[in-house]
Amino acid sequence: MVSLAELARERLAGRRLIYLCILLSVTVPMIWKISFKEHASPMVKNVFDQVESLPPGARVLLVFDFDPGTEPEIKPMSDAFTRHLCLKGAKLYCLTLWPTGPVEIDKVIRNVLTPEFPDYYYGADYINLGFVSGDEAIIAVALTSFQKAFPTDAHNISTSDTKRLPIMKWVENIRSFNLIIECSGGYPGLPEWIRYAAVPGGVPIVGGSVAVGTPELFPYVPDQCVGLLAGLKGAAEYEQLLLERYPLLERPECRVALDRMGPQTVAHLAIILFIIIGNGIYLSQKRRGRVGT
Amino acid sequence: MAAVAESGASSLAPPQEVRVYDHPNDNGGAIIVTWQKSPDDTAEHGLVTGYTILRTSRSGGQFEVVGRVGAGTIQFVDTTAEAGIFFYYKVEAEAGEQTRASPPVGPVSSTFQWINWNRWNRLLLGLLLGGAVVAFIHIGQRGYKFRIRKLPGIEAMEKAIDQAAESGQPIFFIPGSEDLSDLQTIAGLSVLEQVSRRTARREVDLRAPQFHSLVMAASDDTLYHAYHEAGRSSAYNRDDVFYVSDEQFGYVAGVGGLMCREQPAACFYFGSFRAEGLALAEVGQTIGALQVAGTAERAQIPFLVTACDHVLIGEEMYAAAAYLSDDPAEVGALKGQDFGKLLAVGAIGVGCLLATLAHLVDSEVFVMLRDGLLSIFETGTGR
Amino acid sequence: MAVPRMITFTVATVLIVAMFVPPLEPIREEFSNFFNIIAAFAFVLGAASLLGVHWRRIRRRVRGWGYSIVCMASFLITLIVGLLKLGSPGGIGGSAIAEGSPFAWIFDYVFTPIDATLFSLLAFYVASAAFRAFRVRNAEATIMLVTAFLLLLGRTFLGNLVTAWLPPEMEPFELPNLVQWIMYVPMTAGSRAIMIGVALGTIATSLKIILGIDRPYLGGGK
Repeated sequence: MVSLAELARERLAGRRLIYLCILLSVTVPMIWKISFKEHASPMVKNVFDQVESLPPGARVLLVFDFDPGTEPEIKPMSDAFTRHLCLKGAKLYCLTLWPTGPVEIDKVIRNVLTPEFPDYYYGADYINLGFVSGDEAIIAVALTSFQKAFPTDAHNISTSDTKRLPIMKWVENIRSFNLIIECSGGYPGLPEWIRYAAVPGGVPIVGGSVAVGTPELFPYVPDQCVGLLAGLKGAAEYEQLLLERYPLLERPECRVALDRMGPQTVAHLAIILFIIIGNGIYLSQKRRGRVGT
Repeated sequence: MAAVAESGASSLAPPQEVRVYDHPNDNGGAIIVTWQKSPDDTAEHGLVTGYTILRTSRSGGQFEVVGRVGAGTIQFVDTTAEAGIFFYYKVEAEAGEQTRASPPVGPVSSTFQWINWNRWNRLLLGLLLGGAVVAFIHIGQRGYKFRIRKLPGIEAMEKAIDQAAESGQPIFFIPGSEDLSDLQTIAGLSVLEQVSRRTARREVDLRAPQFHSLVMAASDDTLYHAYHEAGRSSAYNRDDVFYVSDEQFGYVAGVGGLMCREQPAACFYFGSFRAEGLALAEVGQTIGALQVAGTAERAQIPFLVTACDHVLIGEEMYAAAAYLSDDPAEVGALKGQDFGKLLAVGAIGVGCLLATLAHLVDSEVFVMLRDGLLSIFETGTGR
Repeated sequence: MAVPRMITFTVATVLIVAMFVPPLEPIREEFSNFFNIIAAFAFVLGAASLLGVHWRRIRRRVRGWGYSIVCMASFLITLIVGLLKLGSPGGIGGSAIAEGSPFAWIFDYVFTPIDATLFSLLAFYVASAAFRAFRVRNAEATIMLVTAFLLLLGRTFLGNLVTAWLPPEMEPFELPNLVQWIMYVPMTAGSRAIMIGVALGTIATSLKIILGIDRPYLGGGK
């Protein structure tokens, strides 16, 4: 008969123990709602300052290029950007180049814009331009003619109909915007908007990206892209800055990334511990002559 | 609401110095309209809310609106100007209900240009690098033996096939998650061709689960030809190349399960990967398979380096087929790539030196040389 | 074999020339559309392969054939529900993903949770990969270990605390600034170097395909 201790030793050997530790390091902070204060990096501060410097009525292109898979990282960013822009009184032009993007735009309108900013009216203060297929080709068309690239909004109203959509009156092309904000889960994403819209159009651009994709985007910062929110940590830093600047936002739905960073931070520390323990085991085994270089 | 101008004047100043000209380096159909801002369009006065661009095809004819831009803008590209027709333009400043237009300018017509001179640098670099590759291919085909450094990953692949032959275990080949339009997939298929020839000769089962139907069709043909060339057409099994899913994690679930059940001796990952690369590599680690990966996806390289035994990074993946085939033309192409790298290193070195000198030394010559070198590598994305 | 090679050579040459000759530019978009249409039709091949492979597994009672039943059933149910828009509020003329439709239900309550769950496995895989890979084996591995260590620590609240005591003159050595420097400088430099190499590899591979030296898309063979 195998004892419990022997069974545990056998079952928890090797990677299973690591998996168990990761499971605990993520679930315990989540259940006990452990979170930490974030200190914003200079890059996130640049993004925040860029949005904060917008005058009332500024036209901002808000792009939702992500899907449910990347939603946990990107949605807190898009929500934070939406809140910040509405607090600055900017005009929001929401669109997406991803087929799964319209769902995300609907969520932000339903869960953020409509309940939190009831004085924002569709067609006058914000517009949902929906999804258009074509990737960077559409961006290139929008550089010369926005109406050609996005002929209707998500409700099939013509974007040339400035009576029903007065927000479209002064929008001719990409150059008509004060800022582009790209929430990017992959391709097409920030590099395409930088190359085909922001740089040729001379419009500043800021972005948010999944953590694994941000190393590829650093070459664009700060010359072509003002700043970048890197993954969940970037979103949490942005939320922290938003809460410090606008204390009225201190409520659970405005600190989603901050709350999620608790488990991520603890998991990072767990991995650091694994690295230390792993090297300790490796060096002691090497000293005993069991392992070569 | 329009602000009243400080001077108290009620009439709006029109835009100044309106110019119109054909958009260069395009297929016709576009005319550029530029102007100087209305004196009432300033940060202090803020009277002007925008500009309307109007056009007519007849002198003295009725103008129609072709575009609107916001205040502060000084350029508009009319992309609806039919080539060959002459147009007249005027630009109208708007301030609430008030408008004031510039005098009409024209006539101008859009024409197409045969050559897009904006892209001269791409042509130059393309000819230089492409020419080098073709030249080295030609030298290789004439019999010259180029020396190339060894790649541990390639040697590991050959050993893995030998070990699989001895143990009777299959080998898995995963050609990446992109479709046939991606060059990484094509490079992966080149490697599959070489691997399948060896596995067919050594009587090793090769499984190639697929993300995309077109890649599946090409992989299937590759495997069939490999068995045919090895004289083992009867051993070819059409179920060895099969479609799983084009959804990332659907593929991981399917192939991960197969790997656990079939216990391959080795797993080769060649192509474009995203998150599924790490997931599959870790499953492969669990079952103790030898893993060799090759990808040009920079975001995934670190994950594959930690999870696989050998990784061919970036251009090494494109070179893998040359290593495996030892074909003179393929090896020649590798040397052409090396020439390109030499050019890149030289340009970076010279460019850094010129940029430093331009910054430190008060001389227009270095600034001119630096800007000249920069212009060769600039890629504007306009029309 | 000569005809496919001629087609490849001709199309490639036309597309390259079209990049420099504006009147030919619309052709590039047309060819891109051709590929999208062909790839969409090619989906039928994939579906046929999927059904064929799993049907044969079920018939031969190969080990794990129960999973093949699940796979085929899931595939056919989703296909029929989505294609015929069964139960959708707008019927066959409405949207398959309309709220309340069974297809939307399958997407929201079956596909999305499974997708998110499998994505979450990466957290475990990253931890086990880090435990295995970051060892002081040799100089390069040690550099990788130290860099990973600094980056992991710098991305937590401890990163600020660990070096908060440094005087202002040593601000560049504070962990968050060091992490940013690592990402901006050596990492970006390495990334760009790989990018240049990949671009050169792309040129060489493309030329081999255009010139017919390499023909993997035709299934190999000489």
